[in-house]
Amino acid sequence: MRSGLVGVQTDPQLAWFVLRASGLVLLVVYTISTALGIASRAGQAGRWVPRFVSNDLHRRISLFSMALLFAHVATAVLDNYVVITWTDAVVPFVGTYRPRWLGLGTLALDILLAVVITSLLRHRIGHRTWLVIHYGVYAAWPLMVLHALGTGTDARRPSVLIVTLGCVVAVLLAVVARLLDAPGRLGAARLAAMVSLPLLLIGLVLWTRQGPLAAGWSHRAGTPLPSSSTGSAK
Amino acid sequence: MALNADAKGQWSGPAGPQLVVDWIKCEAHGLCAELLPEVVSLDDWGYPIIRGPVPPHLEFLANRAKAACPVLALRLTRTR
Amino acid sequence: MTVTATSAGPATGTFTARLLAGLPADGRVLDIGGHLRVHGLLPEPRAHRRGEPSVIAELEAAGLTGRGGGGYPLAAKIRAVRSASGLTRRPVLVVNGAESEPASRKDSVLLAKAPHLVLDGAQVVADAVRAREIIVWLHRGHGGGPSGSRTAVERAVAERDDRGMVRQPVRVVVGPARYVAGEASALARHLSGGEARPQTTPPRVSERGVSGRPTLVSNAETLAHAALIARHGADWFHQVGTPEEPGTLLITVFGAVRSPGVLEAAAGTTLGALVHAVGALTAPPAAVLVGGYAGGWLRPTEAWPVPYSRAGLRSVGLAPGVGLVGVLPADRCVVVETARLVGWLAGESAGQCGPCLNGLPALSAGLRQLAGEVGRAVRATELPARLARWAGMVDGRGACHHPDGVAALVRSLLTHFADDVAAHADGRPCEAARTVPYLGYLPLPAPDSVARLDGALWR
Repeated sequence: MRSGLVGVQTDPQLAWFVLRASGLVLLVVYTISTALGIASRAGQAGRWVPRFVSNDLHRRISLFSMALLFAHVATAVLDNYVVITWTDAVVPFVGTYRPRWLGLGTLALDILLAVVITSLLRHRIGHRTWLVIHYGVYAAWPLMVLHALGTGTDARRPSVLIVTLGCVVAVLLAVVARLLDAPGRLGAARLAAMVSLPLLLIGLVLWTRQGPLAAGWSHRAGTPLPSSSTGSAK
Repeated sequence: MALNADAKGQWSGPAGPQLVVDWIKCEAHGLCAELLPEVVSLDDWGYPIIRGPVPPHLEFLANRAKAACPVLALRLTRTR
Repeated sequence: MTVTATSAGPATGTFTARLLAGLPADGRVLDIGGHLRVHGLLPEPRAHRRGEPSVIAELEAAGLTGRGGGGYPLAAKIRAVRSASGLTRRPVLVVNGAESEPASRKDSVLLAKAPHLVLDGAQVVADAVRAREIIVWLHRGHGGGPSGSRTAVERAVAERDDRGMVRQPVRVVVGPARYVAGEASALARHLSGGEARPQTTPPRVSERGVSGRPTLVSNAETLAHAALIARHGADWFHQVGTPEEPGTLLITVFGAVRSPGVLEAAAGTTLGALVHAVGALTAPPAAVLVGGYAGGWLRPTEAWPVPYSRAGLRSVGLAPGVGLVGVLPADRCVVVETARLVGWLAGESAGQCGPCLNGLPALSAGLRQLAGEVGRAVRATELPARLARWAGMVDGRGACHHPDGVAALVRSLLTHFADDVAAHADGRPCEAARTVPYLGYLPLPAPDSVARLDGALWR
């Protein structure tokens, strides 16, 4: 087996394990961060813990997630079992390994990078600009979920499915709380949004069943055949 | 260092910087009052009442409150 | 309302009209010819003294302070704008003729009858700060027809243009008729293309105002005084008034008086002398309102000896505000009138700042409860204390001074009319309050409670 530029690991199983584990943990951690962020806007913060605690927790978890995300990406790139380059890590949809599904993750990363950088520079750029970019999380998080289901090789494991479902439900509940708590009367737009959420969930479940959970997903997702057949294709 | 609050809640003693609220930005999130209750209390509608200059030994908390404000409505000015 | 060119000295009663001098008896505007006959030519800007135009030192020596309610020394304002300006960063001068105070007429009268004096003053200050343009800011509702301020100003500018007297371009802008739209940062925001809502300062308007330029906003009356100081000097300005507050003031006197109108009086003239000068009372007085609707109340017997000056009014816990004295007759109730005023003022909030947005309606509701429903008495003994608390809670906690004014009005009621307030709170309102129907006395523009939310009404 070729060793990469850095040649960090010689055991593809270990790298793959780290990749999968970090991916799952990232999904959970980002879910917590996102839910905290949405909930604090919903004015729910301050009920059980002081607002500055949930606010601080949100910021720290997000920063920690970026470190973990870097490890996740670095593992994917440095491990040579599957060819993923640094370019694939920042430019979406150009890779050779499951390009669409990996690309979604890349897109999510790009958005999150913008969110984190603007958050660190919040005092310089002003509140409004920061807020507009921060709304990007509403795009990044679903992309992350689809990435996990599309590239995640553990998607078939029941425990992983349960965790994923739990994350989706958590964020949907946070969004519902946010919609309920917004000022003003409950208008048609907000009601429509709230009704669409369970529909989205059902849609996701149905898609998952005929997609990642169905046979032959690995091939349909665009997994390239291994150049040298060492180890099983996952 | 003796810092006493009189009947109106005005501090006496060596004064530190002043916490100033941008009233247009403020949305009554209340993080400042949680972090710095010695200087900030909340009115009947959740908006901050700055009771006086920040005592020097609490300046780090005032900086934290300024950074924690979700809408960046707090400023910290030097002693007048 | 009639315009009376009278002025009263503290003791004597000698009348020296200055701003209102030479106005035609038939109420027509003083045109350029008449203006030059009465006041003479505006002197050319003299040599610099200590690096600045000498007129600034003259204004400083004269002690001219703002007549728009703020009382800020004009010379200091000029210097602040000068230091914020540069060769390529030329400032803007705004003549504030908004007069959003409903009962006040002093600026409208000045602009409608003696526009050239205001424009002269604008010229003096514009030269002193090297302004690139002069904007005359008026409010809708005060424009009006042939005798309105807008027409008079535009005609006056045309007259000056014909005679080659216009050095900086002058344009008239009519802004929305909101109470707070005449505030300096509010009008600056409007002139920059936004809504006429007050902004957080810093940065002050003198540093960054209209389109980001240093902006000097001055009340129309203040500029009229400046025009005369430029002609006659600081010593002349000190010939009337008090040593601390020299010069004259334009004061609208209205209410239960024989000839309500705009007076020109020396600073320090007593309220009693002012009322006497408009023909004295038409009915026994219940209360006297001073300084504006966001000013304060006084008991009549306490009011008459009080000089209309910063120092004099401070001794009874009030401020001059815009020159205004309103006499409430005894067949009306001061508590009910205050409830009406605060209700209106609450609706005039720009709605940007929490304490004002929440506190003013709370004060209004409390006062309405105190006033009692018409014909019915309500017991609410803890109300006065709650009102005092809320007044303290809104005072100074906003982007502009609107809540401060409301707090001052409420506090003056609680202080000077404590007995009436206590009686109302005890379920024993005065006779006047029990009159059915209660016809509101103090004039208020048509109520518009949702106006604050409609952005179009702020443009």
